[in-house]
Amino acid sequence: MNDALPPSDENELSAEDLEVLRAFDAMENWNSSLSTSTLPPSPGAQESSTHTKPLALDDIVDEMMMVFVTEADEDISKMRRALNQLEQEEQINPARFVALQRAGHKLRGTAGAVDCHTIATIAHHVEVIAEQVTLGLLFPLIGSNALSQAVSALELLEKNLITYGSEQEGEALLAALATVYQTLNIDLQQPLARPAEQTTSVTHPLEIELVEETSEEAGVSVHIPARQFQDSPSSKPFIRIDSRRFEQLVKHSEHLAELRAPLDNAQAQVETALQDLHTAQARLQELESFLPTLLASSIPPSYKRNGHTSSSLIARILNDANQRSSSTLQRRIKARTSLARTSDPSTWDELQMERYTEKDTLIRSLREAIADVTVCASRVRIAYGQLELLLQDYITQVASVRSDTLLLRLAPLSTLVPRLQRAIKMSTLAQAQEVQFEVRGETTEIDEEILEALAEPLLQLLRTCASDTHTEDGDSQGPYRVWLHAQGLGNEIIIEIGFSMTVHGGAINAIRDPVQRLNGTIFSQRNTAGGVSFYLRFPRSHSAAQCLLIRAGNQHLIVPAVQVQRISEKQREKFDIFYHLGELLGFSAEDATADSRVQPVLIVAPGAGASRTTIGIAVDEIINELELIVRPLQPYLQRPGIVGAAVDGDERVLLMLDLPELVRYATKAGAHRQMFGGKTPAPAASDKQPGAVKILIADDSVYMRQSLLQTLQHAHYTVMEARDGMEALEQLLENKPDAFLLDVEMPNLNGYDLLSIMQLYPELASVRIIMLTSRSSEKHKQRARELGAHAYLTKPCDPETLLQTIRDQLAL
Amino acid sequence: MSEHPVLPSVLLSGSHAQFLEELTDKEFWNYATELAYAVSASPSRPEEYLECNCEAIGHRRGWLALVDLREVVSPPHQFTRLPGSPTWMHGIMAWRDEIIPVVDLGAYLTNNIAQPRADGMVLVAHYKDLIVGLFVGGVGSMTTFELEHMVPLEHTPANDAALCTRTTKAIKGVYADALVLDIPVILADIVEHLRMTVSL
Amino acid sequence: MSKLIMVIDDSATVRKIIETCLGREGFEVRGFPDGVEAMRWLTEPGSRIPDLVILDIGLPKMDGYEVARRLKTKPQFANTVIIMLSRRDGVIDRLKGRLAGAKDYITKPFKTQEIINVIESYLGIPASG
Repeated sequence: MNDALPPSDENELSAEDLEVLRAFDAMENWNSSLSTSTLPPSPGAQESSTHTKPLALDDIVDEMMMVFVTEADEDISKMRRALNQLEQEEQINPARFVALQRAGHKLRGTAGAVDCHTIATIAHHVEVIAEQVTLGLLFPLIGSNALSQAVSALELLEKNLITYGSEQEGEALLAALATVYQTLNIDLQQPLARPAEQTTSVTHPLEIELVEETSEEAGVSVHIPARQFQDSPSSKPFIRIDSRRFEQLVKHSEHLAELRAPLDNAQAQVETALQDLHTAQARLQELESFLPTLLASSIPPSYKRNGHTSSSLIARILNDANQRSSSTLQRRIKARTSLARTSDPSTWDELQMERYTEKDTLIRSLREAIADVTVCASRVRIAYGQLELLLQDYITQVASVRSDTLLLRLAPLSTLVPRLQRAIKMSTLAQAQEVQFEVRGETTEIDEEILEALAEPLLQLLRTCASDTHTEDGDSQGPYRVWLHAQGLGNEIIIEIGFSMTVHGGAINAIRDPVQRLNGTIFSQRNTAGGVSFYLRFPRSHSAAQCLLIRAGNQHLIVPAVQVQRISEKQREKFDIFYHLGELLGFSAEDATADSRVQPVLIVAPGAGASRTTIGIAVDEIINELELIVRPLQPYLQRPGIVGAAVDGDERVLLMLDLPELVRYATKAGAHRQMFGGKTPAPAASDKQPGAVKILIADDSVYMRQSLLQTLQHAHYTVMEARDGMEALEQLLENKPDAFLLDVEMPNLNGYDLLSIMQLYPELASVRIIMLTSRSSEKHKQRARELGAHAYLTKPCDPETLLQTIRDQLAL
Repeated sequence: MSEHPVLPSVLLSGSHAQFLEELTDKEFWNYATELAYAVSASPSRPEEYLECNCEAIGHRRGWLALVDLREVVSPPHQFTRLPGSPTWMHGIMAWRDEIIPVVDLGAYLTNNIAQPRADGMVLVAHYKDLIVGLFVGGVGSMTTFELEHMVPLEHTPANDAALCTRTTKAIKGVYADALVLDIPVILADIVEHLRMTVSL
Repeated sequence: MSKLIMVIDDSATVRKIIETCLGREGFEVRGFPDGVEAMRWLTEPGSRIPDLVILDIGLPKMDGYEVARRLKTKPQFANTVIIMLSRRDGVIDRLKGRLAGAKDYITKPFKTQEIINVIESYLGIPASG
């Protein structure tokens, strides 16, 4: 048995082979020993045993082993050859991996047949790894590394087989290989479906939503772990980014790096210029020190010398002049010298000459030094100017690098759209009715992490709302419509999810927590199509926030710019709710400035729509508008109404406030407790008419409403009704009741949704909320309490208890 | 077993080296084992302490273990008021990359109101992952002593009426007429107070 | 004359196993490393049409399905049973095999008894001789 096949062209049909095929095709009949063949007798014809001589079992096994070993040896050598070629070649030749794959496959089958399972397993490893490399699931270098280990193991096993007749060390080798694979991060179980192309991704993706889809459609179940939202972005090993944006970032950072050298240069120039200036200044100072000595020394010698009568008079004058200022002295000297020149040329002496020259030199030097200083100063100014220009450039580049980095993290909303579409298609409502889904503004860009965190909540919202097949009676005009409109304003994104019909309640409750974690809010409103719309507001990215720097007392604080609708003077406007910021924070009145000075008032932007209550908060001063990075405080430092803190340029901590929350907290606390240890703030202008206590009941059951109506009216309360959550909200805002009785199960917005939304309207903080529901478990009570309910009653409830509870609540 | 103290602080003087040489192998091995156990079990390792001035305590001075301190910050300081803080807290300040609460140590120990002042030092103390700034009037010298030499609080003259019961737990004892303070206890207590203020 | 079984598998070991176990049962077995060699032998004088062909799928030069198809183009092979032999056992693979003309499918690794059973189910137990 000789497999005399040329090793490299194993898989190709040679010319000879084609001949054989043609001859075979041409064969007409067999069983004729006269059939001629033009082909040379096959060199590789198998001389197989056709005898039925029963061989002893041992002989068979031994023979088998020999055959196997020979074959295995060949296969293993093939593998080794392929590996060597991989190492030696410059470029990675995929054919080598194919060869390895084939050899592995063959050896596996063969070894399995003779019960050499360890060899079979390792050969299988070789096959799988080679295949993974070919499919692009594994890096070639890692693959060849692992393969070389595996092949060495095979060689060892083969040797053992020959020497000992069995697979010694099989276990150990397998364990060793397992660690190798682990270190190299090779997963042999990984299904070999080719991942969907991601032409724009740069790094090796770990998870792709789109793969999930295409593979599901292909009917192959591919298990790829979904990316978890984690608070720390650095915990994920890989992320996907757009390669164009990445290149832009790289380009800009390179520009930045290029600017470094000229910047250093300019700085050095300024330094040199400053040095020169310094030197010139020093010289000037030095010369200045010569002045007095030189001037002073000019007098005594002349005095000593002048024994002549003519000069004695002058000398005396000079002596007197000595007492006076040096400028007079100078004049005298000049006068003297000129006199000396004109009067007595013969008495001209060299010392005088020298002195004059010295003086002259000094004056000249002084003049030069002053000029030097001037020149150097202007040089410094010029160099500094250049430095400033470059710094400007640098700062601009830094800003663009920063925005590039932020951009990298952004992805358009459209990446979520397919999933949303699917959720709707699969919803119960869509099974029963036709549902149209429309998206607008899908190009809006949002931070990838936020987007990912938002995906589940959005899907949950859709699922909850569309989980009901309850049809409206008669007024359905055409198919049901669901739409998603997204809008980005600055760092804020607003997404409207609208339904053209009544929806199942509970949507807000379901996604409240994840939305809050994103620092977002969600509220609801009736829309023009007769249905309900949900509005999601959240930050586009975790970058710096635009804030207003204000002062209350001697404390500086910051407020998010989006929370301030406008600013006004206190005198002219009347507000429904009015506070001074100091009160809200519990700062004592002594810190506040006198009321006589006009205090600016921040008008708080409504956190939710349809709020007609104006809220004004007075501050002592509005200083500036800044962009700062706000970080949350430690849990034990957190306070209601304080979102986080930022640090300004002077290392001062600035607390970031949440104005609506502060107002809400104040309103709630104001009634019976001092807030933050400060004085009790003045309650808001009350619109309660004496005597008529208003109670709102919200329940979708007509019977329930009827019976409650009777009970309450009998007790002389004014009663308002709402059939569902949306109606209840509208009633609350339009006609604020003193107490609110609500059920949990209601369409559009259920009880918990309402509780959440009510928190967004500070003006509703004074309404006493009493749950009246059939759900009696502790878990439900807890949830209601967390969301702000004041009391909890279970149905059926006897009128006495109900009235008593209401009385108790109103008394607070 | 000889009276030799902990090995690291023993300079191998000639006599000691000779002593070691004269031991038999077995004796040497025993000695070494005993020392090893002694080191790990000994609680009274001498520690370095920093002296600080905190007025409003009878003793006026305190000792803080150096291992519990991260940094000493000199004035000028900027504290931001945090609503809902206990009276003995000055506020919060920025320290390196963190925002930490700053508590007036003296006021805390006597449950008083922290008075704003321009001077004084902030000692940044840490315990596990808590970082708190302790404001003191000033700092003195550093000393090393062992806790064994400390006098328990009960035995000192009772001019500590100013100290409230809560804080007696924070004091390990008295040494050289100053209070040895237990930073972990203090920090944990402070944070607990801050946490409680919120849940209203 | 005993029934002729052709084994086409690139592994010498597998061929050896089958030759031995089937040979012991009384069949005549001829083994070839690939389809071309098998066909070459078939063109030679003294060759005969096999009664059964055991065909591996993963063959060099020409895969098993192709070989099966080619063999089946010859009317003389109409009665020849083709049995596919491979590691893979997906529904797809069985289907492909059937489309190529195979009657059955054995997966590797196999027990020799399994092979014997399958072969004998198609060819019957040869008369001992």
